[in-house]
Amino acid sequence: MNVLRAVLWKDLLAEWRSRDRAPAMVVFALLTVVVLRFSQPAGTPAGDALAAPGLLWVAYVFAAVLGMNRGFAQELENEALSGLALAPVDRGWIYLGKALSNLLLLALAQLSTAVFFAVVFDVDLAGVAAPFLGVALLGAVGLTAAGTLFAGIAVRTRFREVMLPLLLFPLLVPLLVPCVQATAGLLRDGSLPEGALELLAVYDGVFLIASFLLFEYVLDE
Amino acid sequence: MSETRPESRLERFAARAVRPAGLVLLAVAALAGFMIARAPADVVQGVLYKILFVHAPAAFAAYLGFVLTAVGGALYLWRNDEQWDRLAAASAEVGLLFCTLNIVTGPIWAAGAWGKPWVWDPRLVVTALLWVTYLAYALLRSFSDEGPRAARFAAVYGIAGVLLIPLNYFAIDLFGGRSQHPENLQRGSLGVGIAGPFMAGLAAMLLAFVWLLALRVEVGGLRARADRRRVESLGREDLA
Amino acid sequence: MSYAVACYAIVLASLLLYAGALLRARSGLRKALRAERNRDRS
Repeated sequence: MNVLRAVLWKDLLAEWRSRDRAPAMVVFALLTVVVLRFSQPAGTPAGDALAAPGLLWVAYVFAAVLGMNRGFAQELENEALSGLALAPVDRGWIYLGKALSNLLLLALAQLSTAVFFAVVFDVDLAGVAAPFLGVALLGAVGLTAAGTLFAGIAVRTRFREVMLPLLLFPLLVPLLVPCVQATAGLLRDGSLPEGALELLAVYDGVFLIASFLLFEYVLDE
Repeated sequence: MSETRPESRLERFAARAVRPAGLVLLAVAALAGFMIARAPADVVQGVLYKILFVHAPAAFAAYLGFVLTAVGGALYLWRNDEQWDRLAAASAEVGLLFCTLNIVTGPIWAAGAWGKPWVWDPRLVVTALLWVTYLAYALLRSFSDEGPRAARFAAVYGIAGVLLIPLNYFAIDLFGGRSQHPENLQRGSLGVGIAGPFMAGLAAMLLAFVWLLALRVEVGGLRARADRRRVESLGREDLA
Repeated sequence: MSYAVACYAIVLASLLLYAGALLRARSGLRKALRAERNRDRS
């Protein structure tokens, strides 16, 4: 537990000092929203309920990948990964610490993007704010749970930046589908599709537990 | 110790299994071919439906392959014995082949039967996702630096991937793929008299998988032996 | 009809090609290993 707090604190402190990840994620997500809006055919109503929820989550996924890539890259640059690996602690806690810091940064980006998105796409997120934040959080937990594990792997392969989305995207469907469908349902009539939250919870749980156990082998030097 | 045999016990076993498995495969494949050819034509689809006899079994083999990949990876992480990593790599290769066959024959059948190459049937989509996962696995291996690290990374990803298979099913269900396509892919609905050819085709396909896997495992073991000897002989040259 | 034939052709051809590649690799490796062993003995 102390390890978790230590890793988390270190990450957040580093982020506060350099302030590079959070702004990058936020700005990137906002730009993605803009591009997506302009990628729609002329005359598409902004509040197109069919497309909008998916596009929001695309922006979220891109921001998450950006943030998590950078998360380990800093350690790699300073050879701090070896230091982490040599520490005589259960590496699962290191994973949780990193995942938690990723989660906090992603949540920040999600919040600002949601506001921006609601304006650009003319949807009423405020009306369903509470349940939407819940869905967004569950989704973010899944994104960072899986993403942190794969980022740990990707950072030591040959095509670092490309490797994370390559590994993550094929395994993202059981996260994306419930998130998008839930968001769509909420925007449409404030309802949640049956089984969406359960699937999300299972996905999050599976990845958190599996990654906690497997990170041992990711950080092995 | 015989220097021309594969490196490990697992691979020597595979090497011994290749010939008998191959003979059984030939027999079963011949039988299956016979039964499939004799199966009656479908009322609606004619002879086209017989694609099922290779399409579905290929999917079985693909899933078996990925499970073996994950199991091999897990055993490697547990035992730290490279023969399990080589098993995982072999199964990933053979499994990818069968998964590709499934992905290719599906649209051919669909285009012929229903006019469009793709339908959002849960089974099709999950197998397509499996195919992409196989690809990501292969890319991970090829982009990792050689050695135990690549093996460990692949093992972790294989385990993650296999856990996703059931989750994907639920996800596609949620996505609304509840058999929106016109025909039911269940074999029972396609008429009588096809259970026999189907089982024969399934047996043949699975045996083909096993045979190719055994052969591939043997080759992997031989390669490992050759690599080790190359390293040893280089070392000896240095000393000489 | 030709769709079905095409499918079976693709499946059989792929499997046979892959098997052929593996068998060739196997015999090549066996030869190389035998050569190494003979060289060591001499």
